[in-house]
Amino acid sequence: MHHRMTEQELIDGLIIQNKESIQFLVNNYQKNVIKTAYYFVANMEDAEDLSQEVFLEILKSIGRYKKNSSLYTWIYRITVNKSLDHLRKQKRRNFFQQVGLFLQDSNDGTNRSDKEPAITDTRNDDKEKRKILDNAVNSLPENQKIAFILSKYDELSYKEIAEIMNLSLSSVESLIHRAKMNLQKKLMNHFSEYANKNK
Amino acid sequence: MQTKTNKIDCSFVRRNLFSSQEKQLPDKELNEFEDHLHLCEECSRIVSDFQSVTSFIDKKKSDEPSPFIQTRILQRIETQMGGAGKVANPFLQRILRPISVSFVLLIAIIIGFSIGKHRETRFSDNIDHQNDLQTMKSELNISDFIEDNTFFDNH
Repeated sequence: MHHRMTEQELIDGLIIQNKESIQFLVNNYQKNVIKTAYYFVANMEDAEDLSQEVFLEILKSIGRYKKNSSLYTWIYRITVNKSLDHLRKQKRRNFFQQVGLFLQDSNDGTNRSDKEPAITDTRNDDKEKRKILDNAVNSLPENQKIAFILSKYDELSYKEIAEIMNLSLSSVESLIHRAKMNLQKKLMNHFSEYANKNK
Repeated sequence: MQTKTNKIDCSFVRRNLFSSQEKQLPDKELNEFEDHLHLCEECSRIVSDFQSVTSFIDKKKSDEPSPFIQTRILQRIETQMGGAGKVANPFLQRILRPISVSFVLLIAIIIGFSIGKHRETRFSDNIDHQNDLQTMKSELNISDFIEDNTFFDNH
């Protein structure tokens, strides 16, 4: 059990890489960091790996931390940035994989969609529903995605989100509203596609 | 199946899926929303699908990371930073690194110069040596004799 530490004591300890301060940091922030990363990347193992990167980044950059925002806000910002980087890399990897599969299919003279089994009943399949939701959230424009995840999943207040994103309260409100409108639209499209398939 | 309700009602429902779920609609509109669902089968299906999919937001919140993650994070920090608490001050690292790089570069430049100079000396020594030889040859009057290729000619 770690004794209480003020934010300033923690920062000072991290600057000199004091073992107790590092343990205090990890102990107090790991859950929030992993969960936020998980809401973005939708995979717990990836989120756990990312959390390690986040803590290393915190230790590397703590000397440059400016106290115009709280440490908590700063850590959120690092977590969000690392998660978005991960998603961008994943997107690039997926693109090249798809190109590879396409080329492979062209050489085989077969169509992959013929090989894969059709999705059965999406409404009864939890895994599929999670995927629908994750894909819909992931397809939102970046700022809308950040605002929506921090609000709906992390349950942060608009004020906290505004601080993390360096935006005004009204901009955050507007981003969350647009994110919800877009998500409704995306999910509705999915539902109607599904309904048409099953007619 | 489409119903007795008009399109405006349907579009209102479809624009307010989140608002109704979060109970952010005024009471009157919320009642109308629910009344509409009793009458419109398609909207009712859409609302049910929407609720079913978005319920995973709450389910996702209850997913927990591995209980050993803290140890893994601390181990990674220790490996990456050469042992937490024992690491050189990052400020010192920021100064020592450029100093050591500059020092290595300086040594490399000095070595380069000395090699270049050594070769130059050997070259000039060689020229001096050849000049001495030439003088000696001319003094002994054997230069033409040696340099005359015809001497070794088969003719």
